[in-house]
Amino acid sequence: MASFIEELEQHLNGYKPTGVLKHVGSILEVGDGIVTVTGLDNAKMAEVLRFSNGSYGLVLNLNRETIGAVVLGELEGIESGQQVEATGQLLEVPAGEAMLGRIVNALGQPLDGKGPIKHEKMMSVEKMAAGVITRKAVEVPLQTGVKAIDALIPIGRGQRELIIGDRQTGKSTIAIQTIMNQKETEMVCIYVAIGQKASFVAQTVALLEKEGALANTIIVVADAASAAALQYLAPYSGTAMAEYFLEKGRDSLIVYDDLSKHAWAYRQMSLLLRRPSGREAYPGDVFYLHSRLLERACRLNEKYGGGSITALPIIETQAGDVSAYIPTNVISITDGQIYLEADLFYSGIRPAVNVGTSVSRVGSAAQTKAMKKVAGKMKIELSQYRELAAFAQFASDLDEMTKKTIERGGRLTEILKQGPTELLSLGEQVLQVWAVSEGYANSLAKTDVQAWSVKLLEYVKTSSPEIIEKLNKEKVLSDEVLAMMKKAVEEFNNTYVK
Amino acid sequence: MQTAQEIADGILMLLEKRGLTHSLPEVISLLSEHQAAQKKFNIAIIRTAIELNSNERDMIVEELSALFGRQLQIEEHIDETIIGGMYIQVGDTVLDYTVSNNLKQVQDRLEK
Repeated sequence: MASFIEELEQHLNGYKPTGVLKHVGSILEVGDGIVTVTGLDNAKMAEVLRFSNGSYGLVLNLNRETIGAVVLGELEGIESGQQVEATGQLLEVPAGEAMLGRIVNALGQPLDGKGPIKHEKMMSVEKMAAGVITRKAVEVPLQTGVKAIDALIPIGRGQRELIIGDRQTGKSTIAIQTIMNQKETEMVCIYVAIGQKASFVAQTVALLEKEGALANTIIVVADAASAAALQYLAPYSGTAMAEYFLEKGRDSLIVYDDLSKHAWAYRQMSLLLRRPSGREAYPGDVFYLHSRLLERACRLNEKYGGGSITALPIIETQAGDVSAYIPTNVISITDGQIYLEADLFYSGIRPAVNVGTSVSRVGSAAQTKAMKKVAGKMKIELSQYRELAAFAQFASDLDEMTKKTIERGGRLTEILKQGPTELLSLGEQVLQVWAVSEGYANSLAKTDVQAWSVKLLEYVKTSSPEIIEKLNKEKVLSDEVLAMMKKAVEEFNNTYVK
Repeated sequence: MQTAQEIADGILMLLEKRGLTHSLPEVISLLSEHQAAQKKFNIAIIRTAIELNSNERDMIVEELSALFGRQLQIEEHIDETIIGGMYIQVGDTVLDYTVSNNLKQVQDRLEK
């Protein structure tokens, strides 16, 4: 008994009874996750409210007599007439090293059953993006491990590259591959699942764990069953967590999967808050919704720590319609897009990247010299191939030159195919792309190119691993490495049997 | 400074000019609602466990009027559930100096 009292005393050590000053209003109306409150004349926009059932709310509308708020969490137990307390604080989420490897909701509360998270700092969910003076141009590459992207649509740290395409075209796969490829780097990854199926999220987490990439990843989940308010908040919360690492001068990668569903959640909230609706029933500020989020991706200069946030937003189109409202908005905000096509996907070209319509507006400045050298040629050849591909079916009537271009283009397309968990280092990518664009696979049928390139990689890895090591380290295609590659590939071709 | 008479005349003239004389009762009810709200704005609701004496009452009125920067009237309620101390509400501002609130703070602290 005595020890119990001692323990109690210990817990209450330093406690002084104090009075509190608070602002309270009362609930006028509750429904569909929206609460209308009277009183609270001094409430601020985006202020946090506390309801008597313990849930929190977020002020989103300030009217003349009332305020409109969304409930973040449990709606049960909130009734009209109850008191609501204004906390005077803006919404914050926990952030810190301890968040890595964890699965949290949009408020930063753990969902993985691994116990409470000891956070280092609370970060404001809504924050102004870094200013002009603090920024620096994008110039350090972010290796995705995907040949088609690293070679043709390079992404730099601090860039915002949109991944866009119909359902089931491998959008999330590319984002997840990129996260997996960061496992041996210092890069912090944040995967924000918005309105996704919980089963898909579980599958993704399991994959990341299996591939050993979960340890430097934070998963922020607002699944399809979460309240629209939480789905709306999730990307901002994820960015706030990334900004913690930005302050520490570290690089981070954040994936928003996906912003179409985010816009839907915001549309739902806005309609319920009775805000005027515009095109496709989205509210007037739906552009700002995404522009203020994606502006927070940045690369800071050394004076401000030199950290970066690279954003990979995902947009799902309906039947390939990129001219719909939300896709055009996000395309105009981002620094380029990776366009995935269902037709390519079903014809077996995976990743189904349309290299003609995909662009990276700032990434080429960040591409490594080695890759630039081998991919530059490839880009031209692929574009020539695309122009001529339509004639490919009349192969017999074509002149020798055209035939050759079509064949080479076909082989190059083959070399860009890659499995969903297959990741290649810079050196490996350069070797494969170089070998094909230099014509070492010219004697093969198109369908054999993939198998040949895999075997080539195996061969070089065992016979002369220093080629790949050197490329990965020096990141340039020196004459020495070129000669080594030439020798190795020729040797391999001499021994290669299908 | 216009007198109340002048303001009332002004309102009547405006209504006449716009042909809205029939909505005078609505205007009056809105104004009286506004007056009620204004009144609420100037009332301090005070909850205590035991009745206040007149000396205490005067002190409270003086302190609160100074704090809020306007002359307040008080409306007293006896509420034994607060155990001790005082609960003051002016508009949407609440000053909770009750024993029951302190006990709740202790409870929250122990639950953490």
